[in-house]
Amino acid sequence: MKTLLSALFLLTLPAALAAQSSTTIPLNITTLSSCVFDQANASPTIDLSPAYQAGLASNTSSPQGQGQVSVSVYCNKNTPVSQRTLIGETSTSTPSAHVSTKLTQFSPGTTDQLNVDAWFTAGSSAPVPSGPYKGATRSVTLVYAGWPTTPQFNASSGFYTGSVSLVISF
Amino acid sequence: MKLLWRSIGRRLWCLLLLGSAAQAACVVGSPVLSPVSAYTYQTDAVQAVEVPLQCDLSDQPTLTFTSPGGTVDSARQRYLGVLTAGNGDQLEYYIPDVSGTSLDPARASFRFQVIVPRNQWGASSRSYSGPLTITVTF
Repeated sequence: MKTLLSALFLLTLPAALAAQSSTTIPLNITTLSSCVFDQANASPTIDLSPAYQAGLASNTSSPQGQGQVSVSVYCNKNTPVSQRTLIGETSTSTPSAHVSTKLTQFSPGTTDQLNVDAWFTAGSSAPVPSGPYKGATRSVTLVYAGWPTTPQFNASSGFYTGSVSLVISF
Repeated sequence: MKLLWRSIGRRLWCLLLLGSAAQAACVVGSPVLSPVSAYTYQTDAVQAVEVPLQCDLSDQPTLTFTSPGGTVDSARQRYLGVLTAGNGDQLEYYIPDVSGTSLDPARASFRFQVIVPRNQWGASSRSYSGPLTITVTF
């Protein structure tokens, strides 16, 4: 009987000491390719300078106002920019091909408009070494705007404004 | 002789009762994971985990985490772990408020969150996984 009793003690002791319970769970997550515009380019603006003069429009020896802006996107590793599309009144995904858009006079009561051309080129693409986008690839798109060579005498003098859209596909 | 057996039988019964009381201090159930949406790099991905538990009132169960490559950031009270993809890319996650991971008021479960923080742009787009071992000590 003593033997039996001590055996029972042995059985109960490990149960009292086994004060741990472990379980392993699998953690799984899938990532989706992502690109985001650089916040420094939150409102990219092109100032056409010098001011437009209809009389000089077709004079190629005296270039008309032209401007550009650089727009950056950050994409996660191995997610390339597959296409850039510039949209005005027309649209293009071909670098250096022109789209046209209309600028409207920024003054109450006037509806005068000026045509303007816009186009883009692909800029540099490089990994980001530090900062909030560390590890991303930064891809630059340069957007240009310039006056068409056809003279526009039908617009009064003033300040004109308009916009084009740049779509980055990945 | 009959009396002796009855006495031994009573002792045995008492011992078995003691034994079963010690075993039933905490019963840990299977963890339940909330569905997690895909990681988009721009926002944190959060997964909630619940570990069902039945403990005696006198028990003070605690939770600890282990995983390959995992560490504890004691300053920020976080458990830091990594998920790995087939190509070797890694995605980090953390479990916040490690020391505060305590029983809910009903003492029916442990609850904690696994957070994959945003802005891990150096990870390519694919599936990541890793085991997380949860140990309940009581």
